[in-house]
Amino acid sequence: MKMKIQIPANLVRKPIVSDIVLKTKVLINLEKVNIETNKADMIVDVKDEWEDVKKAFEERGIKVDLLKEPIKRRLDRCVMCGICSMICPVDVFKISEDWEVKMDSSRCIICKNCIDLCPTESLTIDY
Amino acid sequence: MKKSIEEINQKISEGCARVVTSDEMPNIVKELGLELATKEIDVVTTGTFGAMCSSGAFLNFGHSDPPIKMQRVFLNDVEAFTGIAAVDAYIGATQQARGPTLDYGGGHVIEDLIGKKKIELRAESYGTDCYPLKSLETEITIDDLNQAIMVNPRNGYQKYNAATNSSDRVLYTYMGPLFPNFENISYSGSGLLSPLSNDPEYRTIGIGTRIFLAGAKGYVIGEGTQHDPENGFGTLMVRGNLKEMNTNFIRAAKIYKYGISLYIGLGIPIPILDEEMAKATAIEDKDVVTNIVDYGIQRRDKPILRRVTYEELKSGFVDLNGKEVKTFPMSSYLKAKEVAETLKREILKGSFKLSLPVESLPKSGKIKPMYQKKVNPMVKDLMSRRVVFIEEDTSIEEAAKVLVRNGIDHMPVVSEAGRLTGIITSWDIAKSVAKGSFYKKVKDAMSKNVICIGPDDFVDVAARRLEQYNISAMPVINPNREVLGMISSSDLSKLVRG
Ligand code: SF4
Ligand code: SF4
Repeated sequence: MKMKIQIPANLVRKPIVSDIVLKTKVLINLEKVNIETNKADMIVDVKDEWEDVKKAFEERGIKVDLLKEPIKRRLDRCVMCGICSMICPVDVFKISEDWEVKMDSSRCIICKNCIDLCPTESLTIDY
Repeated sequence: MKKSIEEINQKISEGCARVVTSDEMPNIVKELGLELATKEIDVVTTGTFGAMCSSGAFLNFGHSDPPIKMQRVFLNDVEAFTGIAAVDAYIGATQQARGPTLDYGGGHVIEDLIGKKKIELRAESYGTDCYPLKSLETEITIDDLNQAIMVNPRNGYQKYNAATNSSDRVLYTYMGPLFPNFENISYSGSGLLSPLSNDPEYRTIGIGTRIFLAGAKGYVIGEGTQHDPENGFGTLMVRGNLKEMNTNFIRAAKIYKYGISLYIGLGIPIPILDEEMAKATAIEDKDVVTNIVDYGIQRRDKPILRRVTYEELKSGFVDLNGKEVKTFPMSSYLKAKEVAETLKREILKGSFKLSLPVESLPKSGKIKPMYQKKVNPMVKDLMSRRVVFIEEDTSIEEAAKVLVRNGIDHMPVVSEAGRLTGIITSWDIAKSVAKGSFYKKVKDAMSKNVICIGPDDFVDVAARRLEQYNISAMPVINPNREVLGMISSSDLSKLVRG
């Protein structure tokens, strides 16, 4: 499960992630980290027992949003060209045998590369 | 075995015509043989769905009161061509909206018209005795227009060159993003479903052929612009009623760092009049051959790297100089198939009859390049040939001396064999001095990522590159990476001064 973690100013300098990994014994994959002076945002991916990790963050007063479907596609606009399948670094898009462009949103790491390159402006990311 | 178009239409009326899509035809012919296939199959439907820039629509707005002779007209801020009668205009697919963004354009206006959305209309004029009104602002939908007729000067390319990129940077082209060093290949066209590839002799596709254009009935009205039959790159000029079109078969496109275009679904039914037509429509992807061209060379005549079939392109990988290169489509095969299927259904329903051309498309002729009175200068014409460069193993100290002695602040760095390996600037030297004796040699301090250009590139390409990378000069190198000269923005400004 991918989650967006928003760490408030007072916790930015604390080793929160390591602490949670040690306590929960669950591995956390950092996909994107953005640290500013007064806040930090992270996209993390947790394969097993993500509920524990979510709870651990929340207990420390950190906001967690589940990213069930990070990238969204408007199927009424998509023309199934396949440009996105060339651009995406983690193979979210795959052209199937019968030329449908299949999407597995859960793989998305929110790099946003595909957003501007989709010619029909079908792809959006809310975060 | 011969069939007339009347017999085929009769069968369509009676609901007993046999219609297949052109991707089904190869197997049918293989199984039944040509003679039986000709007897069995009456119509083969084709389809293509790609970004077709050379598209647009004639609109007639009706007269206002008092009347206006529209001299300039804007639809959602996109200018339409009005150099025709008072309230006629042509909206072109690639025209961009006023303002700095490249987000909206003619393609979107056309899609929004078909989608029955409201469009803001502004017009300006100088006023005449018969057309006194000087400016006008209103809101219209397609239903308010007298006519809205799509007329596309060039659609339905028989096939299209595939694109790759030899240069060392990403190119954002109308063929999509092309990664450096031949890392990908983009292609367009539906291969065995392509209308003209299923009738390469233009026996049934010609002036007057009824077609499927974006959900409506349309017609071929002639050969398209840049029709290039002798090289197998025929094109079509088509028309269709915008008011009857369907947004499912039309989609505005915004091609990153290129501009606006329009995806159009176009399908043509091919009557199986005789064995020759059965044979032509049995074409497979492996029979449709195109070229892979190098967009890294920013010239009109881009080098052809090899011939390639649509079968290879559609497999996802193509062998290029012994390397497996990933391919990706710009057009949609799925939608092309949907076009061919929809057309098939309409014929089976009896609501779409076939017509033969009243005049054939030209079968001879080639596309000509532009006549240019003045030849654009090339980098080799303007570059300075006296280049101070330095070997990568030289000491930083020596490099500093060379810069000072020559009164310059950067120079190319070459290997022992004389090949370009980097560039060093006075800033790089200052940095290395500041860091102490950390870097001793030029090769430790230089930047290895050098923007350069070839001698046979146009100076316009050089100017664009200097601007893109915000640099003042770059080395000119040959394919062996030997430095031939330097080109700087001051060399280029010589040109402006004449
Ligand atoms: S690039 Fe856009 S239009 Fe093309 S397949 Fe992907 S989402 Fe669909
Ligand atoms: S945002 Fe990045 S990772 Fe997500 S689908 Fe687009 S290209 Fe792939």
